[in-house]
Amino acid sequence: MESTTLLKFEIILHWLALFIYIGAAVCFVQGVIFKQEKSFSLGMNVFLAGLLPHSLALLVRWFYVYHGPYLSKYEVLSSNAWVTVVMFLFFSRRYPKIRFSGMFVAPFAFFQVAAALFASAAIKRFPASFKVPWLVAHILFNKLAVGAFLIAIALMIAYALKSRGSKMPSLARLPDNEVLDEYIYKFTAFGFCFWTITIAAGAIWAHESWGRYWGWDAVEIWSLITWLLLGSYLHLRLFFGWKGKRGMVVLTVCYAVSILTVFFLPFLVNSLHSEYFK
Amino acid sequence: MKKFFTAPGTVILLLGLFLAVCLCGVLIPQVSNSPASYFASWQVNSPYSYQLVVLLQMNRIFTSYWFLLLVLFLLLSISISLHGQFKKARAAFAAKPSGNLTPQVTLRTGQFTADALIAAWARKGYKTKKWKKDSMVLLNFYRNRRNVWGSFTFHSGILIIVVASLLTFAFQKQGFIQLIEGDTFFGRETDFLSTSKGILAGAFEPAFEIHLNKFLHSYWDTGELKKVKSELTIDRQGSAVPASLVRGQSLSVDGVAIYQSAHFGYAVKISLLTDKPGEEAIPTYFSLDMAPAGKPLEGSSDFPTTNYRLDMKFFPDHDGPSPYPVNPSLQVKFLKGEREIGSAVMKPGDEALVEESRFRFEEIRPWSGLILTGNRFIPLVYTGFLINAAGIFMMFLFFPQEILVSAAPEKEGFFTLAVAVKTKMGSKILLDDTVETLHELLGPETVKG
Repeated sequence: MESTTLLKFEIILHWLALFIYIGAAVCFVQGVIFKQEKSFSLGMNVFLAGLLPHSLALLVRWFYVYHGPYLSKYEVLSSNAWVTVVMFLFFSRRYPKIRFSGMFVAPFAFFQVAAALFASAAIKRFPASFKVPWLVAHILFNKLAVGAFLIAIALMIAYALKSRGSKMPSLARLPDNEVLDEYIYKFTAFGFCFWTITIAAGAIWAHESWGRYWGWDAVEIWSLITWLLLGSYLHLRLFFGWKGKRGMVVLTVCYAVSILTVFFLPFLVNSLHSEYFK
Repeated sequence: MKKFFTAPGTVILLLGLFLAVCLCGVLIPQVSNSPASYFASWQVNSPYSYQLVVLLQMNRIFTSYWFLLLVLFLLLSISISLHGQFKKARAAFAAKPSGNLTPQVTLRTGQFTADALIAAWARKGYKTKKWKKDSMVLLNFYRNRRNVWGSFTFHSGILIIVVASLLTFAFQKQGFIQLIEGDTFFGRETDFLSTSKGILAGAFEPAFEIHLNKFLHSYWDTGELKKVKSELTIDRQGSAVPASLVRGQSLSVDGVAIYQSAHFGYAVKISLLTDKPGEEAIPTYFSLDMAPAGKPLEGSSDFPTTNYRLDMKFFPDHDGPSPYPVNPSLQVKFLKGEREIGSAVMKPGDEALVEESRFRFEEIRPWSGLILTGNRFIPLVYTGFLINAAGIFMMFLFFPQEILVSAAPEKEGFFTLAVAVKTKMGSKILLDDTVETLHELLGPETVKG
């Protein structure tokens, strides 16, 4: 098949995934509002169904661009969404109490796929300096960290809604704030671990490719700031018992910076990283 | 002093300052990532602000003395805190499970067998300590006990990374060479086109020679660079070894790492000929940077010892089977000041007469950019990364957890179970999970009591 035909096919698959993710979000919202456990199960299945065209789209692209989905805004956002969905499906089977957060995770997924579809799908070829195994670790762990952060943010939104004393009876069905707080911590810690490996793997890759492991590049600096802030939150919680609302305020700042670092800065600033995202 | 450096206020202040410095480093253009012309124009347009920024070293924040001072303070704080963390971790690790946990949930059950519980928690990776107190059976399930060393490990990793970075800052040597195909780098510091050395680093003179046999590069169909490769011969005191250097993969020779730069191009040799007997032609090399695929390479340079300036465009034959130009041509404009006084399109060996001067296009050869780095502390940096990451996993993912179940017999064969959990990372989920597991194991008759 010609690459233009494949490109069109891949875009159609992306649109299909997008609409199915919207459907999944509707199921999860219905589950929360009408207190229907069945809707959660349906939402999970619809989410899984959306993952199929999404996976196929990424594989098709991988096949004709000869590299993984990480070299342009289109590929980065789409693969981030894919990892987030996979992580959500995995963890919500392990911890069924967090299934309701699909009502926020599904919109995160479809917004990312939509943003990808509105970006240029032009092919970027594999740069010479990318043939390093550390690239795989750097990108893979970055995506895992981003997925964990997005699930934590979804749970934070639920926490905020509950702790504001919302009179919506449907919210009473969600887990206690104490439980939500612990899950938020778990996903933040998970993301923090992988963010650390992302930075370390990136540093090793940079040294293997260019002879320097840290260049104070804008994206590197913001990654370090994110790491320091998340590390500070985890320390405050561990050593000073900053749980509940106090911890949530700190975490909100941390995630605001994380979102800036992951979703905006690489596309805005002039940096070594941004060359591959634009 | 010890208390001051480990006080939460001091640590928060130091981290806050570090974050503020990082922000300044992003917001204020830095020498390392902005062109010199930017600073020149800043100096002209706003001399006072420029002077202030230079005085405070704000245009090179991350190598400024005050940033170094801040890092030293952080280092001191971490070092002192590590001492306390070591003592705490040692005490926590040595402590035996005591069973002194306040019960958080009590259950009443008709059937209780310790072995079933032990087997269930063993499947979850818990070890068990079982003992009796009067008629009560106490079960202590625990896992990840070793990870009380997590905080110490994590902060040790940071300490190693910071120390290794300071050593790198002081002793690292880096140099860039433009090596023309067929030429040799003799390992002299003066042969580098540019060098960057740490404040305590000595001369950078690698104990080997590099000869560039062939330089290869290729492009993708989109015009993006696909592969850059230098075929080298490394001569280490008489023993010559061939080596291939590819962009993205370094070579290590006698503690010096060699990298293929993405900066490469062509070197044009043009001679100014003379008719005077006894005088030789004046050869000069001009460097043309690589252009995107299909585009000519361009360069402009004064011809030494003359008033001429040469504007050059070189058209390599990209369709040829070899990256070495197959049918190349050089288009030259000869300028005096801004005035064009002649032009020519030449192949190697051609001559051009401009006013009274004769120029000959001798040859053109590709040059490869090579980066040489001497940094003995890289293994230390990597060790720091590894220890730091291990500490993070120990601290935040696989943290120590302890569950205490005490079973007291009642009348009619019933037992009262008191359940307590202990973990620093929040105990609600662990407690719920424990109670759920007990319900599954002990049957539906088990009720909260």
